[in-house]
Amino acid sequence: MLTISNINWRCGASRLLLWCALLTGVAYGQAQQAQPQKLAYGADRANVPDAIAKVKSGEFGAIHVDLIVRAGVPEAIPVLKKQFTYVQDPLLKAKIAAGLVRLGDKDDTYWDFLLSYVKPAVESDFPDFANNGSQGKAPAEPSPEFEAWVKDHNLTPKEAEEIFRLPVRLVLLGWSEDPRALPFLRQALSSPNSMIQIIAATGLAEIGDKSSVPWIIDACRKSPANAEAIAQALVYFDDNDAQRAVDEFIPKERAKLYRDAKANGNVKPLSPPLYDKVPNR
Amino acid sequence: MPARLPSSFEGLGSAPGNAVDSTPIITGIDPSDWTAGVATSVTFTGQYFGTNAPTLSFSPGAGINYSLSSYNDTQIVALVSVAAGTPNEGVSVSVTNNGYGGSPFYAGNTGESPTSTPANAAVHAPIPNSPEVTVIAWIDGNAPDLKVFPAGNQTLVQKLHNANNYVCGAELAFWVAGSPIDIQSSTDQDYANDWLIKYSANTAPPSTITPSAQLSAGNFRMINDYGGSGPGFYRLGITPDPCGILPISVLNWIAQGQPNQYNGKSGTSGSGEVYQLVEGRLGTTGQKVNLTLNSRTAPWVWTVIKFDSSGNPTYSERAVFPTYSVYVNGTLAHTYEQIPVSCFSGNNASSCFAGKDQTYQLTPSQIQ
Repeated sequence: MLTISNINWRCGASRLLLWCALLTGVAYGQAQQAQPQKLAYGADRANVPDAIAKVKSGEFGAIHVDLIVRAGVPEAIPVLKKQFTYVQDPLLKAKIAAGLVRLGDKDDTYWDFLLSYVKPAVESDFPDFANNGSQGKAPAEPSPEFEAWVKDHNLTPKEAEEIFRLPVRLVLLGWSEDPRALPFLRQALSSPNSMIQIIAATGLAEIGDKSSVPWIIDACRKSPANAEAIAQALVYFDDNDAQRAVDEFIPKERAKLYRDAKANGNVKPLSPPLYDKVPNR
Repeated sequence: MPARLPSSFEGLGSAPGNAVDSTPIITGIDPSDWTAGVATSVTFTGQYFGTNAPTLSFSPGAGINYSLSSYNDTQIVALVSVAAGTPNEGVSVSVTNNGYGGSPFYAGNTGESPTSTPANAAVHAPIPNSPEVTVIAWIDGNAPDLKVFPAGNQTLVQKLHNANNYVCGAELAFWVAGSPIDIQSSTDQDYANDWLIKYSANTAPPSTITPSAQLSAGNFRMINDYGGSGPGFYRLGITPDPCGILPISVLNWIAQGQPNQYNGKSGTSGSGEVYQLVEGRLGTTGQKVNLTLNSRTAPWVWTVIKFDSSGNPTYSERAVFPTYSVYVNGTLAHTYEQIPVSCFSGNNASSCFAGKDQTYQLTPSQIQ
């Protein structure tokens, strides 16, 4: 089937360039007239004081913690610690914990909380929720594998609901950039769930642990359907094996796109850079 | 919970030393919406109602009477009569267990109450000569601003449109966790907002509908039905998964819209018209994505259906997003189009829906 994505990346031959440009123009919509460009909130270094103020006020979300931690503001540690005790939402609490770990706080409370929050995602063997639906149209039913898994584990609807949220938890483990996360992320690479695999590989790239490269390559080989998605993490490693695997698993044009993004400052997959002005593309 | 007497002992009385009776529990009332001026057969389901004729209590109880049609320990069927002129109001219903087999309720020294915790029902006053008005709030993926996408950065575009839907799913997971991956500029922001809305759009409702069928089909963000001879209804819908990886049955759990505190509120407006307000916003997971992309809390959306004393409807009070299709007695009477989704690249972000925040809401006192 000709999907949008296939269309775009089958446009390598120059004689098809115009045809492809027309097709993708229709698929994505045409670019609007130039509008005043501004930095998005989470990319704008000037918003760091605002993010700190919001956390102090108690009216904040994960984006504010993310911005503060990426900016590396150790002065924010006491504020984050205070909010850790108040926050009820488990995801936001774990984000704060991961942020404190990343900022170098030595209190094991935060690492322990983060790990206990993330472990169910690492240790669970739940399969993909559904077979890929067409974009914008959710598949009608869970995959037979997932239904069988829920039945085997005798889950209540509430427990099953939490399973669908597990991949999000895993994001925080890599984002903490703590080497203690490595064995758990490597373990998650062998998950039967596609999102867990992709997020685990991304987390290893965030930490930048070159010794994990063979693990990621191995995951690509064992999961052909997700090989390209997992291999995106390898773009971030300055390592010959990693780059050879990128060429093996990712189509040339797309690999160039990701490498260009890295060359333009996106050196960590979960920590986009902060800017003072809109970067040139 | 103390054990009840086994049924074989019922009729022997509740002498000291026997097991005590349990407090009744109401688990269902069907229907739970009663029309003033009408007698309605209502089924109360639950536990520990007793086998002696139970007592039903209503609060406020003015104008409400009942007669028992049948009863047993787990079900009561009663004909509930609500006097004409009773206003729209919530009603708390309690069941009192009057004992088993002719013997009174026996609590021993346990303090068990014979009366249940109240359960909720409602009375609605019929609106004379009114048509049935149904408002369906739905997202139009073919709105003009969603045909012409802003020029988001190519990494973002490729991830969202990747042939492997799990790449898109992972991108959204990063956003839920507060990491603004691939969102550098206001055009990226606009692209992501537009993309999320376009690929979670609803199909347009037809020109004629059977309201109850539309309710069952669930293809809406919000539905409000009021007037006519029926009790009316309202419901918030789900946000379809734009990546196409979560089955619909799951979305009913994790993508259910969040009701506003005034959702379903009915009453009389400042201008003397009776109304039904339906108000909600996207679910908590979607709110986390919104916060990461836009650094704003999520705005509310609403629809108000009103009738004057002659039964003439008005339905123009609504949020500026999404699209609202209004049906009178099942026939499309008007469509209110949605404003653009996102314009952070322009000079007035709040003129688009994604630029608004939770202060964008309607309270009953604002209803005209």
